Formats: sequence, structure tokens, C-alpha cells
Amino acid sequence: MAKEYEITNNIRTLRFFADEMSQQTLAEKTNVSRQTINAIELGKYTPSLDLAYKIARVFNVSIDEVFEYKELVDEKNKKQVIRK
Amino acid sequence: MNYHEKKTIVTSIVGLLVSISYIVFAIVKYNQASPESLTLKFWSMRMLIFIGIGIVAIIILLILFNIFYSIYLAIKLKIDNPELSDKEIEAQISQTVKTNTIEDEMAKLIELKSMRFSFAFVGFGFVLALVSLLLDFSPIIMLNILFLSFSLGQTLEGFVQLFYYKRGINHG
Repeated sequence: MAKEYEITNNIRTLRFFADEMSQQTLAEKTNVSRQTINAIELGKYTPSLDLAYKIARVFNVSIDEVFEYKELVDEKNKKQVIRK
Repeated sequence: MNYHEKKTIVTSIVGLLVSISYIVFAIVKYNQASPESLTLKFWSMRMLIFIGIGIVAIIILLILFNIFYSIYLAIKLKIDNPELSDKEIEAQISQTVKTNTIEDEMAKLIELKSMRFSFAFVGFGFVLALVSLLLDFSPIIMLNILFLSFSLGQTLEGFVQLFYYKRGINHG
């Protein structure tokens, strides 16, 4: 089954505005590996709620400002929407 | 390539080499058909020996891998920052090793998901072993199929882990 949603993030931007914080530093502050932070940034891994909150806390922002939930409209639904 | 991927490659290759060497050993012994090789006791003993060899080989290679990984980090740091003192490099290495080797939620999720493949492979091997008995093959063949399904299943788990590290993984 195709994925019906996508979770994007602004971690790269937030790191930039936090004095170009390195992935390594963010990993140390959230107690995960640098590879995990890299995978999250690239959209290869969706973090757990715990980790998502930890990341948001590091940047002093709400979780909504770090992650964004987007619903994907597939081709079939698109056709139905057009017909209506 | 990150620490976990490199570690998985090392352990998978060791597992694969042990499996291959066992297959070669088993084929040679089976073809020789010496009286002692026709007993289950003989095969059980050899399998235990190969399991021991596999465990010891993985432990030794992981120790060597960690040593070489630290040396690689030290050289890389020294080249990138020639002004750093040895103590600073040491401190940075220990910090990098600590964050790179941490077994976090992503590593655990990948381990869990790849283990499913390993279980499926072992299950398939078990069924195959039962079928071999039904087809009147020797119990020695059955024992070997079981052993190889465990051994190759573990290697498969490593390769699935590598796949997930490359492609990424999601909950659910």
C-alpha cells in the first residue's frame, strides 16, 4: 500500500539558525547517534514522539515548527477530486 | 557509511565465511562417508565447534574493528584539524565514538525489522528440514539444513540491516 502521508522536517534550517549547530552536537543533546539525526534530516527515518520532542526542545520551538505532516493525494483520489 | 553499517558488514562477512567453510566441510565429509561421519553425534560435535569458531571470530574481529575505527577517526581528525593537540583529539574521538556507537531507537527498530526476515528464513529452513525427512533423506541432512538455515539466516539479517540503513526505515 502506498504511503498516504509524508512527514517533513526543518531540522537543517533550525540547525543553521542555532549558530550552525552540527549534527554531532544535536545527536549528543538528544542522546541518539549522528547517523539517526542525518537519517531524520534526509527523511529516511521518522523519529518517535519522544525524540521529536527532544529535538524540538533543543531548538526551543514547538514540535510543529520542527515537523510537518502532509497528506499525499494519490492519482486515483486526484481523478475523483477532478470529477467532482 | 556509518559505524553500524560497517559493523554489520564485518559481522555478516564473518558469518558468511563461517557458513561457507561449514558447507565445504560438510560436503567433503558427506562424500567421504567415513563410518564416524554417519552418526548424528559426529555432526553435532562439528556444528558446536563451528558455532564456537563463529563466536570467537566475531568477538576478535569486532575488537579489531573498534581499534581500527578509532585509529581511522584519529587520522581523519588530525588531517582535518592539524592544530589540535593529542589530548583534544583523544577527547573528540571518545565523544565521536560514544555518539556513533550508541544503540538508539533507529538502530533498535532496524534490528527488530531485520530479525523478522531472519525468523522467516529459519522457519523456511525448518519446514525444508521436515520435508527432507518425509522424502526419506538421512537425519544428518535434516540436521545440516537446520544448522545452515540458522547460520545463513543470521547473515541474511545483517544484509537486511544494511538495506534498511541505506533506504531508511519508518514506524508501522
